[in-house]
Amino acid sequence: MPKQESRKLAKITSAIINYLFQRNYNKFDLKLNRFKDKTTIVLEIPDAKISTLKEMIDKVSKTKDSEVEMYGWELIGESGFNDELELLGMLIDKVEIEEKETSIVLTFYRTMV
Amino acid sequence: MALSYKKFLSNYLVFFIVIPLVLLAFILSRVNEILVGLKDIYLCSGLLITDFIAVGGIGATLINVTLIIIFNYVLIKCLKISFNGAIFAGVFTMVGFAFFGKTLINTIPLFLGVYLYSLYSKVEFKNYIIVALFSTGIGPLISFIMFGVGLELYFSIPLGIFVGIVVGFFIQVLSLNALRLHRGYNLYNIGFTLGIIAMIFTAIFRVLNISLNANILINNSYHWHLFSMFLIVSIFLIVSAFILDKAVIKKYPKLLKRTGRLVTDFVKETSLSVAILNMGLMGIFALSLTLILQININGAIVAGIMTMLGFASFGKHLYNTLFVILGAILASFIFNTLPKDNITVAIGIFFVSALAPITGQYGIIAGIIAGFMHMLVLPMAMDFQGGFDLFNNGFAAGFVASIVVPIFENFSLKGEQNAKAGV
Repeated sequence: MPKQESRKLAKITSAIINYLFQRNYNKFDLKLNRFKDKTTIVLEIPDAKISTLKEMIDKVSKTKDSEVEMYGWELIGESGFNDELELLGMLIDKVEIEEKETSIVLTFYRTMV
Repeated sequence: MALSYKKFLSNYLVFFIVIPLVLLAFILSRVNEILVGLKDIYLCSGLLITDFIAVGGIGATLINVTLIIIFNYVLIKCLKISFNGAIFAGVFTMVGFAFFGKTLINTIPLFLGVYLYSLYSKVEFKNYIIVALFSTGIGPLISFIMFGVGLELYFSIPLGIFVGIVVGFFIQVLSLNALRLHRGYNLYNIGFTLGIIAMIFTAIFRVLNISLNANILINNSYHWHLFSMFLIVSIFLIVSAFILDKAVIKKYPKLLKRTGRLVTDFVKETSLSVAILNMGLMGIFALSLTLILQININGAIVAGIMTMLGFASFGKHLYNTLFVILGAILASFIFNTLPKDNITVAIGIFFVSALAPITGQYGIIAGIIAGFMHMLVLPMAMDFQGGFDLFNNGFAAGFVASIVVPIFENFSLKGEQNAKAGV
């Protein structure tokens, strides 16, 4: 397993948390499951609406780009500005959205490069 | 129609560039002049500022450019890499610097080094292609060891190859670390990394009393040939954008809203047509600068314009670039070092655009300040790195961004507002 994978996962979670704090989401559950070559991150946000998370979902859902990932992943978590979401998208394969009665659940899937 | 033209662009565009280049080379120079010129280019150290047109003539320089294009095209095709913003930036930069320091001899060892690192890290080489493309900016170090130190060739050539491989091996790790210093606000991140490596080698050579023979070799005789070439390329890109998407102009403002901070891939975040339109417009903008500031186009300026074109798919656009360039022009007028009289300043006017994301994130005044500071740091950067790093402006821009970004971040409201507004 490439040595950098642990740091990448730490940065991905940090960027997600940073983004949520900036949007005044102060209560959420984040669960990470790491397997041999893939990882899932499950984010549950109570009292949230899909519309308010649309920007995040759209940007993170952009196509994964492993060449650009290797070039710039270190920048994730450095600024907290919105361009971080595009960076995040380069490391994430896909995002699934589940709308529950009292919360929104986002599941991020990542396969190791 | 759009799809087939897109396929044409990605598969055959290179031939429409290479064939005219080869023809032009043989129109402007005789065969024996090209061969002798190529030998001179390959055997020179290429330390900054060495315009290959001055070393080997226009014909040999164009053939060197052609060889670099073919090498990169074959590599990218073999690795099955699709053209995204970063690849455009890397290839255009390589082609630009083939006028001004890069040869196959001094680039291949660096590629080998990056390849060995990919084996070591158990990651496919194609994932390091961006680093590999930009790593070639330190090509003159390899050429200098091979042909400039004064050692016997049977020793100096293997030594040069070895140093190239070692440097290439470590660039990925060092470049990631460099990103943290300027936080993605210097688009020439690898130029910054290479400058630090070059600084170490400069120190070693100076301790060993090896003269670096830094000089300025430029040839301005082909200004209008090169101007015409860029004008055709820029118009071709703009027309291509409209062929791909007739409504491209309506989508262009979306690109202008991007900060351009690394890693911003305009091809992915907008579309190929919008990115190509931006490249064409940036080409026209760069040519306008040469006219307004009376800058002669030589090999070094070609590199500057090509890099502006390439990075127009990877962070630069008319808005974020304009104000850092204005800052640089302001500095040159205040200190009375006009671009038309000073090649280092003229080069700086184009390459200062590395700091474009500062305007994008923190606004016009921040961009002007960054551009101004860049021109102050630039001469010192050259002295530090001895001319081995072709991306000297990337080296200087790295320092400027490292200093101004934390200050703007703490004392400017613009960044915070942007974050909240979703910019």
